[in-house]
Amino acid sequence: MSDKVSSAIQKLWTSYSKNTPQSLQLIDTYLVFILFSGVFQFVHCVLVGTFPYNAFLAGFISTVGSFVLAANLRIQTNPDNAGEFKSISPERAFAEFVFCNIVLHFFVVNFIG
Amino acid sequence: LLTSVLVQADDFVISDVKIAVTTSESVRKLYESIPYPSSFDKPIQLTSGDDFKMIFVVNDKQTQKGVQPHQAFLTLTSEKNGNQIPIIIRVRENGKSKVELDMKSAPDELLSSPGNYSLDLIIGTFSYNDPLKYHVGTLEIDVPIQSSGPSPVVYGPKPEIHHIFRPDEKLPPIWLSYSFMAIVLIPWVFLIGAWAYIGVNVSLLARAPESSLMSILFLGSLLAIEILFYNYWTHLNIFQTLTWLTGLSIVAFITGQKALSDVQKWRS
Repeated sequence: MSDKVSSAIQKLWTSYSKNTPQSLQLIDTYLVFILFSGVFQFVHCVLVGTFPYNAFLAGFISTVGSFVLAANLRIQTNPDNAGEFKSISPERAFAEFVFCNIVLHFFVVNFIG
Repeated sequence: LLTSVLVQADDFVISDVKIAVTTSESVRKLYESIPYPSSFDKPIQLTSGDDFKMIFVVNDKQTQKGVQPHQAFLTLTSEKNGNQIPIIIRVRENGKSKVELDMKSAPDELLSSPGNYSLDLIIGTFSYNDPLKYHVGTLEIDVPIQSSGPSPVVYGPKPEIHHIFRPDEKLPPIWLSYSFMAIVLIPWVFLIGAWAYIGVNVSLLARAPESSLMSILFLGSLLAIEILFYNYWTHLNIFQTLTWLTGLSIVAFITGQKALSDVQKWRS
């Protein structure tokens, strides 16, 4: 039973590393990084309570927002989806990603206090 | 009372005046009707625990109908020292009113000075110049003399309030905070390692050196914006930040456009 699960995971991993283009893999690692960053902040908040509540919220929301923006970028730059995004080139998607991140960082820095 | 119909009466007439005194054991010891305008000739004795009630009707002299004046009160004037104690009366719209003086809840000034008090009913209203003053009778207040000293100061300073500020919130132990700071920075290490593993490279620089300048300037302007945000957190205020931000974002926009269009051309 567990053999099947582990072999399925193995197959998924090899197919992933072979078939996904490098740019998408980069974005995927960025997504994992953001995810763990958010998880660690949340664990810290659970352990010590929410004293500087605005700081916790700012940090957590920044990870959530960055995750969403990066996922959006991945969807828009995936060559398999190119049919759905005719008007938005990958470069335009990247520019929007950068702009939205700048705005998000500005609000987060404002809120950290 | 203030919103009632303006009483355009020339004169007031009181009718159906009745007084009653009940002791603390609910025994009625006095019940009389007083014919207006004469007063009650015998002094009304009140000891501690007694309850004095009076009912009457305020009428307009000309129309003989009940009216509701703007002001109606009963004053107790001490014959000894001229002290005046008012009791405000609520008159209903048809002129009927009831007033009660309960010795259990009488004002301190009354309870501390026994003696004879002249009882007067005063009726007045805003549109008429001559109010009515009707001497009802005399009250004999019979309470033990209290040697409580001078009467309490009503309008003096209150005792001082010592405000206690809320104590500071407890912070977690510092080693915990530092260790979590390190934990939260671990994903960065993971990111750099994973990117190196996947093979992120700057081969673009080698292939098309003339357009790499724009890319470097673009990334440099983004880095400058992030440094500006760090400075905003530490010491700048929002107006300075916004000024710098507009300048840097213009640079970033121009260099970004050029850099990204170069990348697009190179890609196709």
